[in-house]
Amino acid sequence: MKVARDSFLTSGLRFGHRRRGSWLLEVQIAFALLGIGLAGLCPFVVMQLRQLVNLESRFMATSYTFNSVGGGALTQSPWPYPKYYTTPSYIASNGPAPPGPPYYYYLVPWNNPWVQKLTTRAQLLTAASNTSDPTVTSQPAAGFPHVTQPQAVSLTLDGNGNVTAVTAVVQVN
Amino acid sequence: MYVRSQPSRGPTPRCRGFTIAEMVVAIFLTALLAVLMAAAAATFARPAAEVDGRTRLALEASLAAEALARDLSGYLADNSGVPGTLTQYQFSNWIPASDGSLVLNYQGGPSPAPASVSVTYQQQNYGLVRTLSSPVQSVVVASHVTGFNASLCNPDGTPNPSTGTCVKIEITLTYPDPSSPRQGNPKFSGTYVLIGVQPPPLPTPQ
Repeated sequence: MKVARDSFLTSGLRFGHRRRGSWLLEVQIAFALLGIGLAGLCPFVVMQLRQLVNLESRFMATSYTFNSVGGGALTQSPWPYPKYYTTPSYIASNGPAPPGPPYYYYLVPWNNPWVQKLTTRAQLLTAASNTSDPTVTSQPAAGFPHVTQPQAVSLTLDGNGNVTAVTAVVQVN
Repeated sequence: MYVRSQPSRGPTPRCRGFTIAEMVVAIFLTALLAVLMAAAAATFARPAAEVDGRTRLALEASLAAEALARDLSGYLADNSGVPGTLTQYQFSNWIPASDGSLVLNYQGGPSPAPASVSVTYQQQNYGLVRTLSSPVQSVVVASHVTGFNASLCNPDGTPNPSTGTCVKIEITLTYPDPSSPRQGNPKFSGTYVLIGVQPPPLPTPQ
């Protein structure tokens, strides 16, 4: 009768070796590597936040409501917070002035009817009018050319043949 | 046939357990790892979810504003391919309905097209739908819409349902909306207010 000589418990000890655990130094190295890996995710989150701030700064809501995990509803002013604009660091940065609450946006048509018709888009402003848009008191007669191009478009090339400037002459009536 | 010999004398391997000190160290390290993972989730996962939700809201709001800006420009986009005249598809008036929807009327359609065309904005199934009367065409211009209301107002935004010269458009967006398969928190909601200004009257021809 043959009996197994080795067993699970004795296999690691057959040659006199002991099963060793992890050193504390190894555990610390593992944690350090984990931390480095997590820190590598920081730029992605920061990049996303910057893009979000840019996106929201162009078109802000009057109010945001945020239901956090395990918390209640929190209604707050648009990002960045109005207090942010009053900080000395922001004032020193010469940042743009914030739109006043309650963050209304106006859809203002252009004064020139042809601009209205051809651009087919109203202006998205924070005021009810655009002071740089000149008032039109009369319109040209039907069929009257508004813009003519008396000569062809000319290109300026560099030594490698790349276009460095485009010159177009138009005549506006 | 042979039988397993007796364990030799000398340094006999013992199957020992672990001491209380080792167990305390293991528990401490496990707790430390749990704390680190929780901190990592709070640091990265929550801002990522917040960025995701708020970006969706801002994007949908921009799409809705873009569509409204196009239709509130003073003219309806003409798909005939030519500029036409200043009287073709000119903005006529707006009618905020009692259900919150907004009807924009245009006039001067060239024959054989209908003389008047209307565009309707209304909320349908958590989407902002733009419907053109002729040819009949419905397009969802924004999603995650949980509220849409249009009403007459003064230029400063104060309500004036009878003689208001502007139209106040309030759009509430929520992500995730109730129709989304993902529910629960975090949930984001934002209300955007747009005030439409009437185009100036058409100047007289020279």
